[in-house]
Amino acid sequence: MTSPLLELKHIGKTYPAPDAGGLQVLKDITLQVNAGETIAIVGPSGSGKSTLLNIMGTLDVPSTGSLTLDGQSLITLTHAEKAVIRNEKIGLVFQMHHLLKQCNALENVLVPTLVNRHSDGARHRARALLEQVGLATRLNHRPGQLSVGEQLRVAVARALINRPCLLLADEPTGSLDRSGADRLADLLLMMNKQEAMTLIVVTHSRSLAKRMDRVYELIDGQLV
Amino acid sequence: MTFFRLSFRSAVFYRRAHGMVLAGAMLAGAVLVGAMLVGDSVKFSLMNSALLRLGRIQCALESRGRFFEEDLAIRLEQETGTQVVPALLLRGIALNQKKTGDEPRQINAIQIVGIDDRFWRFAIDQGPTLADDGVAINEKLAAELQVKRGDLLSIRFSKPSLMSKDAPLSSRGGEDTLRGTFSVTDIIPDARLGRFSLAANQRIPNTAFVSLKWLQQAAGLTQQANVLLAGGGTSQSAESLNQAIRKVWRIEDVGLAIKTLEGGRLFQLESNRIFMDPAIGAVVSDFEKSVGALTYLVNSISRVDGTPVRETPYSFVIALAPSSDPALGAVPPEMADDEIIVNRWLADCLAAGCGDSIRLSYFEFTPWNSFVEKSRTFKIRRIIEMGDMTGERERGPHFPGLTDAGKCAEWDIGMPLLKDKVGDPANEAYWNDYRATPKAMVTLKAGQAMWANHFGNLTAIRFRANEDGAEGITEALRPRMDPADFGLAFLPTRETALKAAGEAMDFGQLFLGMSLFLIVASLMLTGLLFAFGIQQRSQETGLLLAVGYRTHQVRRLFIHESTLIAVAGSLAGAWLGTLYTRAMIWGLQHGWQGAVAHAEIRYHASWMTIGTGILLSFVFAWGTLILTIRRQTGKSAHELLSGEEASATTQQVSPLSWRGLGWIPRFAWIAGIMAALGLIAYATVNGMQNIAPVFFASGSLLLISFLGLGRELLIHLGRNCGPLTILTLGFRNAGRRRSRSLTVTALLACGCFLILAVSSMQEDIAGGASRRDSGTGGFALFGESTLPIQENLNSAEGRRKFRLDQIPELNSVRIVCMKVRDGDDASCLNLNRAQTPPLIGVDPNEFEKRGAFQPIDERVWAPLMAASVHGDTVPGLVGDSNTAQWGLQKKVGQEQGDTLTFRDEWGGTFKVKLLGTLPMRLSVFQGAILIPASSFSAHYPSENGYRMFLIDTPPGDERRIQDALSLKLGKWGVNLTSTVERLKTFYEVESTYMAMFLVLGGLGMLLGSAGMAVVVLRNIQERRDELALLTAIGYSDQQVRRIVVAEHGVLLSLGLAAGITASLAAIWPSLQAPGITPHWLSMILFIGGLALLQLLWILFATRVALSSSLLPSLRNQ
Repeated sequence: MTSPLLELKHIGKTYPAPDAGGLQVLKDITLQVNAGETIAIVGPSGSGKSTLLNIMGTLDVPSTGSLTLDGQSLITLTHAEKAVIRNEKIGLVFQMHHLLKQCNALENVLVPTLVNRHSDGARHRARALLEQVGLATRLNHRPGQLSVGEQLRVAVARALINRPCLLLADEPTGSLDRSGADRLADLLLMMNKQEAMTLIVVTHSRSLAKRMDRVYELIDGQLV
Repeated sequence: MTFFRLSFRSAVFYRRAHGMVLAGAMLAGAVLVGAMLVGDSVKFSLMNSALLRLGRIQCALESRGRFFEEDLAIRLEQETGTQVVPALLLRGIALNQKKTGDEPRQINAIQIVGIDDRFWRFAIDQGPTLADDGVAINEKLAAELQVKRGDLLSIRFSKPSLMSKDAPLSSRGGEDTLRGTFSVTDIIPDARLGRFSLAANQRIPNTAFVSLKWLQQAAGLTQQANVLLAGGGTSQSAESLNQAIRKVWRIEDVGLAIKTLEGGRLFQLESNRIFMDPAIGAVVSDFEKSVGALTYLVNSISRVDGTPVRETPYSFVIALAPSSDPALGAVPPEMADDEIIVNRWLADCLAAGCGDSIRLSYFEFTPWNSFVEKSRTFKIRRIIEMGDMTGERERGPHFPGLTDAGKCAEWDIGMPLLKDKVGDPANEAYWNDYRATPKAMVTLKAGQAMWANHFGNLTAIRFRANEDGAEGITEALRPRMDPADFGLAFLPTRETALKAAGEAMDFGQLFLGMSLFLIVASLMLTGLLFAFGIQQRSQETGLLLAVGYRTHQVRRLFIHESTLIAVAGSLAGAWLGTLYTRAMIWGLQHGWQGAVAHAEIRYHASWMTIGTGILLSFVFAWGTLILTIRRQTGKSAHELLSGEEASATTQQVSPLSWRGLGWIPRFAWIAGIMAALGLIAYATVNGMQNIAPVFFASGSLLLISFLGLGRELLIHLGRNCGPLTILTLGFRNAGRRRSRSLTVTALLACGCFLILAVSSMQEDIAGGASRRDSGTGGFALFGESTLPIQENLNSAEGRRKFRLDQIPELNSVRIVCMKVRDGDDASCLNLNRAQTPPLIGVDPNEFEKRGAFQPIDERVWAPLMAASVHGDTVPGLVGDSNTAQWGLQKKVGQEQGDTLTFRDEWGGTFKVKLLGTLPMRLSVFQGAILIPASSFSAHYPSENGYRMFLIDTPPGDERRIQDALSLKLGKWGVNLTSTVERLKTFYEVESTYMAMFLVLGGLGMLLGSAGMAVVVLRNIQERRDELALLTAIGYSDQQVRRIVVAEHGVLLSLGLAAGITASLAAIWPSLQAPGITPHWLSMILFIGGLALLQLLWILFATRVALSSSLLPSLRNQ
């Protein structure tokens, strides 16, 4: 039996609050995700979906429990080590996509590769990714010259540039209309197949969630 | 809710952000008000100093070198009802008579004031009654001499002479100086006229008050005075006092007397100065039955065609105006100017008869106070028997040292006499029988052509007796003469003193100029902080616009808030400003004393200045905030609400760029640089002296052009700066907020430019000092004597008299001697505006032949070669260019040169045209005007002897020669100093200004660099999510920091590069001047330190801003 790509064991997250106990957002979450799987996490607003995704992406640390990626524990890593993991193994897509305004589409995709000094190969790959996401003609356009959907696609290409084994997307379709959301879902799944990477999506969208291999709902801090 | 209430609530709610803005506005206000109050304080202190030195004196009559009857004061008092007090004011030397072993201390150049009890009427209370053996000294002299009450003190002064010691026949014998020993009976504090001085200068003189009677007796000036002081409760104007003088004066007051001769048949007007002022001759020229006479001692009288040659040495000859009245003189109206009447003794001596030619050899007295032998031939018209000459013997003038000598060999006069001739037996016999009876008579016209000099052209005026006798002549003379022509004229001393203090250098402006950078930096910081505050509230602004507010209404809200801040800032700033002033005054009393020439400065603030300061600081702060508001509130509601602002790389595309004319600004910047370089090259090639305009013009042009190019560079960086790397990612960010980036860059560049330029102007005074074209003239030593030295110290006689010939080292020493007429020092050491600067009488040939003070191929001294320009106007050269520009604030030049008016010895005025200046910023003559010695002597014949010296010494011997000369000339109160030291004394003021500027500019730089930190913090805060993303996608903290540092490093490099390049280029012409040797090491250290400081600010701000994890900003979204 192959070991899971991502494993969460008894993850809990409590935020300090005025009352003595604090605000417990996540309770004892255990989850195993295999390589190449697609997973959707749904739940009402404030249920802790993004917190869970941030913990998976090492952007946040759990109060309790353990987290391993590809057999490596992420809890005990330093900030620098986590940064390396995020750069090499994890791709992140944010709802607000956060493109650098001073860079064009191609350059935005290349930004993660700067961490380890990108090669010519990275430039080719960035072009290819942008072609794959349908932006072959918009390589030199800056964020201000792209639509929201196009910006999101640039963000997806950026997330994939370093061939991560895990792609985490937080409400990727939140700012898109239905057709746009469908196209983005197609794109993510296509990438999942082509790049053989694991995809975890936090979303409110039932239609997007249905297209994933597994769907979890986060209720009262627990995955159901 | 009202508009104002909303603004007020916003102001309160954002109080923390506004607090920082308020601090910036306060700082700017404090520096502004503080600088203005420094000006107030200096002016107040100078006024105070002027009032302290004058007490209740309103007007003063000072007839330097001339003396008048002291009871003129009583007559004036009776006439005007004003308190008028006589005094005798002399220069002297004070010597501390230590009881045991200690070295005696000598203080040169003190003022000795002979006074009686009346003097203290002008003080706040009655001072000491001075006995003949008592002296009261001021606190300064007591401190410098280290004496206290009861100690013994010696005072030495030059023996005044009614007849100038420079005059051709004046006596040079006897003691030149007199000395008195006194017991110190009182030490006069400043508040009780201890600072008494009639010179408009804040420097306190060393003063010894002695009994008027004692000083008069010691000086041989019984009942004489040379100063009248008027004032007190019922004081009158100088003009009304002068009118009163015209009513009460007597001819005896000015040393004139009517002598009754020949049993009352003849009266003769004589002067106790022997030679009579030319004005007197002019007055009596229309008198009937009067003739002028001029008696002179000729070197020899010889027969022209006789064989063997017969001659008689050293004979008196009288020149008389022709008159048909034999009682007035033997020269008849028909006598020609080439005819001569001789007495029988002379005719016999020369074996000459009527019609024979005889030659008179005589010394012509030159304007340079030297004698040149000349001769003139006359034909004998008549021979007078000796019995008919007795009257002339009686009428001859009394020359001290000459007419009272027992025999010719004992004559003691200034004129050089040949020993072998002066003892001629025949002449001795004549002297024994006939004394000073003239041997010959010529016409007055011929006599004046030979012997008239700047001391006068008559020795007597004869009047035929009339019914009214001597009194009648006096009464006839008096109305025709103006006492002002004899120096009897009051001047409005207090008014002049207050004017001099009022027109003194404006330290308020000076400090404002020096603090300008600090003020600009504060305002810039204020603007930046306020802009950030507004940017932080962009969503609030967007909301207001979204709900229907119009842009100007939103602006109004912010304007209300900014007004509150500006009002509070300027009010609090004014209070802080008073502290700033006190700090500056503390600096002026401690480290920066040089800037105020060690004057005592006291804090003073006028409400008017504070009010003006508050208003100005409010306007500046408010203006800055309004500008910021205008820039920050021009965005749409959508932009503001979405938090999106167009990237700088796409925003603000200039209309020129749209039209494809984006090259125009670049061309303009490059043209600006080329123009500046052209200007610099022109100044360098032509060796321009006054490079200040070039410096500022080229410097400003370069700075603006470099910053313009910097802006273009930022635009370029924002668009494309090569392959994407971590560094270039940072560079691109630098181009995003161009205004913000350029503000910081410009401030850095300007600060760097100013400080580098100022520090590079530090002059090495000693460097090049031995060059003739430097401010030392190539002379090693500069000397000033308290008591005039009559002899030329280069002459054998002079060296013998002062025993300089006893020291072999002094044989090779050459001394240039100069005459001095004291005045208001116009150097940078006098804070008051000089009204009448000192005049120095120089022989321009002495300097020209040495090439002193003049660049090669220039004839700086040529203007002084002529004795006058345009009639009676005297040519003048200003001591150096700083004196012309700052001390006098006058133009110089052949055409456009200003003209200064001076009062001559007779009370009349004459003009000095400033034809030029010595061509260096600093020279040993700073603060004075140089005029030809001939003009000097013509206007101030009583200023006898030399009081200023420039000394050439063999290289390396300066110290020994200084010591040797000080020893030999110490009795005359000669202060010798190296010329370099003298220049350094002047330069101390300038260097202190520079030090002050560097400190204040440095503070500005510190504040400006804090601006960089604010910008870094703000940039990071603004782009926190962007940086968080970088962190999220795997950038390490170090890499994120590197991006931030690279971004701001670009601004730092740009600012430094612009500032350094502009300053180095602009100062290039001045680097060519002699003595300018910039301290490169300190400049490099400064630049390094500045870069390091900025870098530290960037690192510090980056560390602070990135100290908390960036990731929560992503999570929060």
